[in-house]
Amino acid sequence: MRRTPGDWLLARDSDASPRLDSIRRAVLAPERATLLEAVVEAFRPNLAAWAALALVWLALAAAHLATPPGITPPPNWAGRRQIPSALAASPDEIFSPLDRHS
Amino acid sequence: MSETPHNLVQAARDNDLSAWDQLLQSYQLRLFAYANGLTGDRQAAFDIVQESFIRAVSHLASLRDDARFGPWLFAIAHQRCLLHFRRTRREAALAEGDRDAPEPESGEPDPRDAVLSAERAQALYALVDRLPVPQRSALLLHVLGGFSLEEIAGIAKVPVGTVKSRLHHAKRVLRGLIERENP
Repeated sequence: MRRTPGDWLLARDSDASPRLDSIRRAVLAPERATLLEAVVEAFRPNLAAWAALALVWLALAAAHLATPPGITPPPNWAGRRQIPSALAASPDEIFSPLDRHS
Repeated sequence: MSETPHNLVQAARDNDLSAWDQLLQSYQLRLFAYANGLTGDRQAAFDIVQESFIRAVSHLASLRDDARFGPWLFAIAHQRCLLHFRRTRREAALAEGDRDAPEPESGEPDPRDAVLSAERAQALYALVDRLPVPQRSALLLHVLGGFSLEEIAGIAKVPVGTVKSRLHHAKRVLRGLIERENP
């Protein structure tokens, strides 16, 4: 099939029709836009920024996973681990207030 | 092609959403092709179409003649394209291209009537993209919108003679392509 230059110039951009349809609908009836469309519209213009943020998060996650498990915990960590042993040492003192209410 | 049904525009003036939908749908692809062809920026072209639609809906009262809805809508899009050029610091492109443009000749073949094969279409895209912005604008408005010289002059806000000259230059470039295709 042979086409005119106008046909070819239009054909080059024919894949834009679905997005043009949604633009037209949004312009004519913005109040009918669904929540999903609003979210998509909010994300689409900043796709590069969101992708960059996702990459940063992935890099942080990778760094976290790559951290060796034998790293020394902070100084107050030892104190926290002593709490369960304190509970085990005198359970009556801990539970006696509860017993009074029951 | 630039003719718009009177009753549709009249209904749009009465805020008939269905009329607006038909009107904008009938122009959206040509408008996008014009913006994309002129700016060479697909995302900007979508934005330009959206801004043009919004402006058309909110400023229809400023259109005096319903029959000129098409040129009026393209004039809005053209202005948005110029804004885009200003934003992207490409004003220089607007000034270039009129230099050394020869006077129009009569009896040129109309590029709208020519036919091209798929292979030549790729060459057409490359040629159109390489044209200076003023010539490209005139050619796209002529070929895509089917607008007359007077209508293009109104859209671009330049004298008819300038449009004639720009279009002649664009046609001359295009003619070389068409002659190779249809010897």
